[in-house]
Amino acid sequence: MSAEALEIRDVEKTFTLHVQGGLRLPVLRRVSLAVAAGECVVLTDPSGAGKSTLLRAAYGNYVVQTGHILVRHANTVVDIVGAVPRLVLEVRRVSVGYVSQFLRVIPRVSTLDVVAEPLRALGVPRTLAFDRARAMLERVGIPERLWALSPVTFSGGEQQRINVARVFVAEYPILLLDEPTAALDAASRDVIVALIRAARSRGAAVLAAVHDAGVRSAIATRALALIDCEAA
Amino acid sequence: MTESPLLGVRGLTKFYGARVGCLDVGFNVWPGEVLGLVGESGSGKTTILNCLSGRIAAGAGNAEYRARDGAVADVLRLAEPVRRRLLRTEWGVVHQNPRDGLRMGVSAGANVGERLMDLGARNYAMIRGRALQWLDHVEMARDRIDDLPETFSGGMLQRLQIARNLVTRPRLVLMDEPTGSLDVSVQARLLDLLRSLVAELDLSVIIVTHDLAVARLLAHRLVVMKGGEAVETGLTDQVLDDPQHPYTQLLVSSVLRS
Repeated sequence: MSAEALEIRDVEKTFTLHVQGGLRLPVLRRVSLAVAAGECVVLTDPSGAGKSTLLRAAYGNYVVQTGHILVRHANTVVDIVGAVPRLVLEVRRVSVGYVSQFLRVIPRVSTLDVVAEPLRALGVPRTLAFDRARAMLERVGIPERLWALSPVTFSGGEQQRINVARVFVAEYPILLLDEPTAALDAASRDVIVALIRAARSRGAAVLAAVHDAGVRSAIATRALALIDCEAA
Repeated sequence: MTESPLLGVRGLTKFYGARVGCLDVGFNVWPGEVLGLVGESGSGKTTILNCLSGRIAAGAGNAEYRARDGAVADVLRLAEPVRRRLLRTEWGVVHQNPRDGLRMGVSAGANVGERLMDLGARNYAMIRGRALQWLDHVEMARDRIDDLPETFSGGMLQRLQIARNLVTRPRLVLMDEPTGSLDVSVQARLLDLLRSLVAELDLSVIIVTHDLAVARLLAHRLVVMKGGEAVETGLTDQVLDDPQHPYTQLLVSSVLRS
């Protein structure tokens, strides 16, 4: 087994837009990179370069045409490319957390339940899961009066912090972060930076797309441009 | 990850005269999995469900179900009494219109208790107690237990139908557009309820829906149907966010975002 927690090898992704006359959009051209435990690799490319696509592919949300995405999972290595859906869900439950730019939840489910859910899925007892969820919500600065409400009506910044909270509460060994601080004010941004640094020191492998130069330098152990990760 | 599927459907085909109902459809359902069948009206989703429940006879194919006792049987070819027993014990069927799944002439409590009595329960106090428990589970007021379903709202009827199905602890539940006839706020409540019940009871579910938002929130995996055929299958968020088949791309891009 390699020392890397996440290894992306020769990954190619081209979108074929059938509704637009079969237009083909190549986005990832044989990209390779690796992230070790305790490392935070930040992708620095401008918008449209494929950072989000790569993160989604690593989470099994996008299909890639060729290559391998090797994820360390419960003492084995799983290739997300070609893995059956049940295995991808299991990898997500246990090993890989993904902070997207959207929060998707069932209306009516409380914020506290949303944040506790990943812990419940991991088998953490109810009381402990809710205690940890409360502590995490406090940490990201969501006021207690909102915890019993569904986050669907919350502001973009609040939703983003809940997104971060529900992923970081579960302490996954691998974290994929897509602009985790994008919609946030300076104080919230600092909290997220501290969470990412704490995750790194407990040994998480982090791959992140971040525009903000300040955040980048605060969290990154290495900065990469996708273009430099492509095969010559 | 080495366990075997609960249900394995292969080559399922049904013609209505010359018209295709479904053609050579195959999929597995795994223990604890919610499988969504999506696609527009007439794409064959309900035909599949009806073939599996025996409401209509399949033309070809097989559907191997692994029962609680480990025995494997093709549910498309069960003797009628065996099929009826399966539908009362290990399977549940939730119809789009709750009136199709409820007995409208008897009380809410009787609707829930009837399935227990089918299985031989005779202790009235126990049956009533279980019925009350299930009204709690589906968030219905206990004092409605003696009321006739006629007096219930659409959302309540649907919750009652779910209670009636789940009281016998089935392992596989077939649901046909369970939120289809409800208004949006009631729909959200039912979605929340379904999701927690599925997780609590470790149910396997095949859910037919044309609503991709419902599919996203409930299903682990999707089968996309078009013209009776399965054109794409995969992890729910992958199928919806990165659809591969031209038809799925059209379906996904046609949805209005709210």
